[in-house]
Amino acid sequence: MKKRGRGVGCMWYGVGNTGLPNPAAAFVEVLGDTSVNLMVGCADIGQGSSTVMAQIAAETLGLSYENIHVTWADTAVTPEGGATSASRQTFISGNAVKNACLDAMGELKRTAAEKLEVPEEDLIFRDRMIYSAKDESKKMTYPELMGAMKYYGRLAVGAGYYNPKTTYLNPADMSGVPYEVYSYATTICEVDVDTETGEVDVLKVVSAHDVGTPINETMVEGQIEGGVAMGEGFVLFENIEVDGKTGAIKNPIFSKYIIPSNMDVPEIYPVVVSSEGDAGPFGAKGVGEPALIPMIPAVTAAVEDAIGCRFTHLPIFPKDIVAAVKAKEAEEAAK
Amino acid sequence: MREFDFYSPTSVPEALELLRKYKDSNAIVAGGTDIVIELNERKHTPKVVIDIKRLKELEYIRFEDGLVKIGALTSHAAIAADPRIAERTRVLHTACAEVGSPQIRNLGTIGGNLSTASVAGDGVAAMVTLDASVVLRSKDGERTMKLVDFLNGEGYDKRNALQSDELMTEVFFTEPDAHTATAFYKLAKRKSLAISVIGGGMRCSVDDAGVVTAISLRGGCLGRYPLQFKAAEEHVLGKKLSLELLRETLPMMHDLVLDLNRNRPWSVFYKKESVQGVFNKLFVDILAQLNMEVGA
Repeated sequence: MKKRGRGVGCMWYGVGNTGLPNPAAAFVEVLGDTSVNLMVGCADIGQGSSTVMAQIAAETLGLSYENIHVTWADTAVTPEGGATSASRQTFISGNAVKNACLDAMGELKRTAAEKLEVPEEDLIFRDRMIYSAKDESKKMTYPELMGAMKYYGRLAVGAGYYNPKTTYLNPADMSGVPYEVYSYATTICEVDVDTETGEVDVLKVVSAHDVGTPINETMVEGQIEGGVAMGEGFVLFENIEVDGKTGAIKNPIFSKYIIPSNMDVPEIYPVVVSSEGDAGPFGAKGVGEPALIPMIPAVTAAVEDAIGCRFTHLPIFPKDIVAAVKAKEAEEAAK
Repeated sequence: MREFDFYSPTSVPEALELLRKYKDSNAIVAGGTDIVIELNERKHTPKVVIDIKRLKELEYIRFEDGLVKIGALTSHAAIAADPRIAERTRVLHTACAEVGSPQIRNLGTIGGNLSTASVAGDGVAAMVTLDASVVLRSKDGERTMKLVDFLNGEGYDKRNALQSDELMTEVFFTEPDAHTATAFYKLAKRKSLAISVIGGGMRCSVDDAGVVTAISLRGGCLGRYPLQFKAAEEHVLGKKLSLELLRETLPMMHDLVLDLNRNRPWSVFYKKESVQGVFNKLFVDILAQLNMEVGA
């Protein structure tokens, strides 16, 4: 018999470790044709960090996304970026890119201020134009600015890095301020559980994430959807089998390590919640791990809601569900 | 170093000639979805590999003389896409539509599936449910046998009755009539790209009064070959079909699975319980298909 259940998972999650130093850096150069070479150590493993770095550089410099050429994660040339882990790259490498761009803008601002005869602090760089905040008729295009830079023999190069305020934790009890900002999320899911075969059908998932300012909303949605699929696998499919004697993984192939297929993944409604930005670039926070985490308790709770059995170990396999249902039936019969 | 010689005949007689010539050590490749893996893993080290993929004459689905005849080289995808199979022979349609992945379904053939005779072969369970027969040809001629006898046969590699110079050319079964319904349910670890945990097959015929005139209840992955729930079949045969009647057989299935799999305590608990869930779904499916005859 199929039984329906619903579950909710909520979480808050720290981004930007402050317990230990946690830096990343970026190099940038704006060239005469207004194209930009941006170099970051940040490894894009498919989550789209290079896209986000280019967007942050374009926004900071007042250029277009298309102008930015990103060289990333090449240890021969790119600066330290730290690990792509801990939901940190948008936050930390993103801030490094912003700082590198601000560094490169020193010469750009000096030159524009001279040409437009306005104070540097009044200058706005936006959409390939440079103008005075107080008098928008005082303006020049980026190519004009780069022409002036060439005339003066000035180069727009910058380096920057970002390290969250390292507070360190109390070595005695690890107390302190462990993260610079926090991401918040809630995931709700609906499942059908077949009490006879133990099959779990995850039907619908709504997953809402506070990401501060979303730098790229489509990619944030993609990360949420990916996290939901991973969370489903975490609860219902994925199990690393280890040989008790040798410690070798017994199922290191995808025919034996089961992840959800397209057919298993539910209807997903990602909700991107914007909030007051904190220390992140333009107020952005991380979403890499938050996308996954609340799905896990949400599915587990939905299974419990459906059949009235609580599971304290993951994954929950069909055989575990059948065993729990049988045990519950026996318990109720004994009453 | 050359590990084997490779032949790609273009006609059945040519293939049979090669099989006879190299009967001491050969392997037949049709879709290759099983045998190529076995060759790569050196589970088989034949001197000669014969690729029969060019024998287009063995790719067909024919409805004739009250029989459904399927050429051995017909792919799972082709069977799943045939509207006549989908309408009348749901058990085969579903088994072929859900086996493996799209790539496996495009390459894998029904003849290969039956010849490999995997414990988890969905095509095997479906064809046994349909009480199919297979046609085997060699240079000496042709022989026809029931699939269940084929599976229990002791041929050259002990998998089935196939001799080393024989080629399976066709599988056929009686075309299910309007009073017959068939269904397949694949219980697996996920909804696609999965090997069956149980592949349940059911075929049921009723007369105008709704009395069961023929029944087949088979469970793949529960034994070396699709398990026949004989006591359950006997319980239902000759009685007026209803969900209650069918559900009375569930404890019999439970007991049979438990009996036959006692040596696998880690899997028997789940299988003896879930087999009932699988057949409960099949019962509902069959009754819905026979709606005209038996009522809701």
